[in-house]
Order: sequence, then structure tokens, then C-alpha cells
Amino acid sequence: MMDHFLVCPFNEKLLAKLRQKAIVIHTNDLNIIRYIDKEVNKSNKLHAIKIQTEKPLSAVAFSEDWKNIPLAIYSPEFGIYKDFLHQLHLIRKLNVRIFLSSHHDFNFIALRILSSLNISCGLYFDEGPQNWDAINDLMHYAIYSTTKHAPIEPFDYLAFHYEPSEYTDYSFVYFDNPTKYLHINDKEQIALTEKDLLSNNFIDEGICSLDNISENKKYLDFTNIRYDIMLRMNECAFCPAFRICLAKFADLDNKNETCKIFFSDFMDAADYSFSRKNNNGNQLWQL
Amino acid sequence: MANVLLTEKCVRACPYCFAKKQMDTSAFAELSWDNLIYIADFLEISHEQKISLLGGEPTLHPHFVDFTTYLLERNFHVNVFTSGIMSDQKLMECQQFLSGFPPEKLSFTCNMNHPDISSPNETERINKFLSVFGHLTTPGYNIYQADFDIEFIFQTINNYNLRRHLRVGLAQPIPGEINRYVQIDDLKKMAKKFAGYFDLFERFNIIPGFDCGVPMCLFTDEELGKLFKLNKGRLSFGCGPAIDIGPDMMVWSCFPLSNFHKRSLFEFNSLQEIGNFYNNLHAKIRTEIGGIFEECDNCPQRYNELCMGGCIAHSLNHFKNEATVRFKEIYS
Repeated sequence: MMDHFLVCPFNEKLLAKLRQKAIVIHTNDLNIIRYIDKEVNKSNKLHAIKIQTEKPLSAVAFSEDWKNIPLAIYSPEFGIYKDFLHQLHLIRKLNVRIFLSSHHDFNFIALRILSSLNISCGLYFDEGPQNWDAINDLMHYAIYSTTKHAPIEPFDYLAFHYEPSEYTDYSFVYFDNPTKYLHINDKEQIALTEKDLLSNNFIDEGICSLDNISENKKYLDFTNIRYDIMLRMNECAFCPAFRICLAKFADLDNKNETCKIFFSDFMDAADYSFSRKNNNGNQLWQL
Repeated sequence: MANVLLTEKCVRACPYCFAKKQMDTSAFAELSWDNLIYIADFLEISHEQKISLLGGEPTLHPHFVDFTTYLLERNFHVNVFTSGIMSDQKLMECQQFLSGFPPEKLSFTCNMNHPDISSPNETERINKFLSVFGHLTTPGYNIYQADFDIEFIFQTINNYNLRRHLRVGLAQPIPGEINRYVQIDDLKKMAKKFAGYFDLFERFNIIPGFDCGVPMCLFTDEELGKLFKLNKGRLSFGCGPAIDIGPDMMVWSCFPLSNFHKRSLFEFNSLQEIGNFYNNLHAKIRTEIGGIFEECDNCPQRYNELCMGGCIAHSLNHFKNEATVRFKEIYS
């Protein structure tokens, strides 16, 4: 059996069938966070709770009760600064990473506010057109700013994990890479990604099938997706930043004006982080 | 310390206003969140933990409370230069979010005008502000004419339990602009008037702290001795770059020199770089002219760095109507 982390809704019947698994629970119910932590940790290990809320971040009622519970909160917008301020000291005590949508202009500033106040945070890409300039500015802040600040994902993840000779997938920060995470619903249907799960694109069904997932043809095929894109000879196949984008925005039109510019800059920034990480000491002049 | 202008709007129209040029030339620019974060990062990189917020009237900025609390959360000491004139709603908002901070984190400098040039409504609003924030507030007074009256301030300090320090600013000329300030020939008269209040300062246990640009020789040795005691030994007759940052991210040395070698903040990597840039310019001016009086050129106090020879804006005024024969930098 492969050592996948399982991403699933909070379903006690489903959890009862799992043993010794690392679990990511996704929920939109803020009232059961402590309960989820207690129940999941009875026979499994809670990796994180992914909370998707429709409320602005400032309207989320953070609780002392959430201390030490690993949380990823996904909120569409930041909301009102003063309301957020009331909770700031509590948020700082929590084991939380706050994600804001790419579809709200103030979120790009809000993420800088959060990061500069030493709160780990990230941007999540909503479907549809993106504000690439704002995303690029935020990436520059996240990677190049010399001021001490908390990580902003997915930029920090990529800067830290980037290897120039390999593909680097930042989807890990969203619990969404099938080499590590598999998604299961209440009916025990298994999907490679959250998007697949939502669009009923399953690779298998039943908890017991997890044991043999590494032999599942659809699971094995996902690694070939990259080669498929190359064979399709579309814009992504010729994009210099394919190694870090992995065609996440393949459906976009006019890539030269949109994602290509951003991901090329993003890869430069990752290269910069990589060389900084690997050239810590002084280099002696060369003979 | 850097002075950051949040907005160029103001509720007052003070005759001496040194920020008038700033307020006249822009369509009420306001500092954005983006730029505030940039400035905070810039100061942090410069190892500067003090920041002054001013305007215009900084409390008129729609995000004044948000900006102030953000800077406080980032461990800056924030000093706000205000008129104290604000709506009840704004005052309530400030009270809710700011009144709990200790003076080591947050302070106000409230600029007082004589009641004769303030409307009763203004005075009422200032008093409301002081009744909430008096414990965090240092009064300030700008002298713009040789004859002035500051007795009302002693009473205000006592009534509202203000900090026992009066920040005394001397209105200075803005080269190329029209504003009210004490003419060079009247400076000694102004100093004599000010020295007349020394006994009151002593009796009320209030420190009279000069801002900058005051030459030492305005006072007699006896007056200097009293000033020394009143200031608990910390006397300064300096003039140097204060570093002001506008809402449009332009920087300049200080308000009287707001037309002089204005630069973008983005041209510099640290506050020290900005300081060096303007210090070098000041040094060039002082090479051309020692100070505001002719005697400054050979003054031993200047050589001993006890006095900088008054405000450099006065010195620049000397070059206004002459042929451009000096260092080219002093003309722009």
C-alpha cells in the first residue's frame, strides 16, 4: 500500500474504515474543528483541516479551541481590517495558513499585510481570468523582499523546493498532487485531484482499492500527462516555465500576454532562490 | 526617524504652514496600503523603528486607524502629528482602537494655534481629542511672528494631563513660496519673547523643546543656562534632513526644503542612503554660506558643532536672486 495522504470530507463512517492514515479533512463547518481533530486522531493522523468558507477572513470567528490544530483556511476575500485586527493576536497563536482567492483585488494587498504581520498565507487560483500583474507583484514580494515576513504560498513552496533539472509542482500546497494526496468522497470514490473529484472523474472506488492504487492504470497514466502536452505541441509545450507550471493554465488563451510572463518570472525567482540557497559561502576566485 | 504624509488634505489653513506647498500642488494624494507596506519594509530594512505620521491632517486619511494599528503591530513606535480636529465618529474610532496603547508605542503631537486664530468649534474639537488622548499627547506650537502668546498652552497641558513637553517649531521660509515666518531681523526679538516664558516653563515643570533651525546666538548665555536646565541638559541647535515621504512616494529633506532635490523613495535602498544624500547637499550649501547670519561664517559654536547656523532654508533664500555661480546642486 502506498503512503498517500487522503483528502476527504469529515465522515465518521469513512474514517472508521481507515487506520494509521494521514488525513486531510475538508469542511466548511467552523463549529466542528476541535471535534474533527479529536475524532480523526483516534485511529489516524490529522495532517490538516482544509476549511473552505464563504465568509470574508475578517468575519471568521477564530477560536482559542483551535490551538495546535493544523488548519488551512480558504476564504474568498480579506474583509474589514479592523475586524481582522480584533483576532490578530489569536490568529498568531494558531497553527494556521490562510489562503485568499485570486479573484479579489484587495487580496493581493491583504496577503502582503498578513505576511508582513508574520502570518503564513497563500493565494489560491479561482477559475477564470487572473490578474497576472498583481500575481507577479505578489510573487516578487514573497521571494525577493529582504524584510522578515511569513511565507506566501505557492511562491515560498516553489522557491524552497525548486530543482532546475526537475519538474516542480506547487500544487502540494493545495493538497493536490497525486504523488502525495488522493481525494476520496463519502461514497469512497477515489480521484487524483480535487477538480477530478468534483467532476466525477474517478480512478477507483472503495477503501480497499487504495492498497493497490500504485498499480491502477489511471493512476499510472497521470504521470504521462506531461508528455501528452508536449506531444500536443501547443503553447505550453514551448513555454520555458513549463517545469513549474505543468500546464495548469492550459485552457487560457493568449498565453504570451498572461501566464507565460508570470511563470517565466516565477521561474527566474525560483532560480534566484535556488542559487542563493546553494551558494551560501564566499566563492573563491577561479584560476 | 522618517515622516510619512498620509494625506495632503487638511482641515486648517495655518498662515505659516510649511506643508502648504505640498497641499497646494497635488489633487489631495493619499498614501495607499501598497505604499505603506513598502515604507514599513523600507524602514525595517534600515533598522528604523520610529515613524511619524503627518499630513495635511493624517486622521483624515480613510485608513488612518488601520495604518496606525498595522504599524504598531509591526512594532514601530508611531508618532502622529495632528491638529486634533476630527469628527466625533473618527474620534470614537481612534478611541476604540488606539487609546489602549502605551506612550512607548504610540504618541501624538498636537499642533496648537492660539485661540484667537481658531474658531470655537475647532477649540471644542481639539479639547475633545485631548480629553481622550491627552496622556499620549505632546503639545506643539509653531512660532511664525516675533510677537506671540503661548500662555494658553500651559493651561491646556494642566487641564488635559498632556505630556509635560512643548515642541516649539519655528516657521521657516519655503524658498520660492509665500508663507509666514519670522524674518531674520526679528529672530532675536522672538527669542527674547520666548525667554520671557522660561519662568512659566519652570513653574509648570514643562520642557521647552525646540524643533530645529534655531541658531544658538539668539539667546544670551544666561538664557542658554536656563534653557539648559529646563531641557535637563539636552539642548540642540541643529538643522539636518528630517526625511519626509509623501503619499506619492517622493522624498525630500524637510518641509521648508520640499522643493529642493525631491527624489523618489524607490531610488534609495535605505533611510541611511537618503540621509547621506541630503546631508551631502546640506554640506554643499553650508560650504557656500555658514548660516543665516554673516557672523555664522566664523562662529566658533558652528565649528564646534554646537549650532548649525539656523535653518538652511533661510540660507537658500540668500541665493534666490543671484547669478548661478555656486555648486549647481544648490539651485534645483
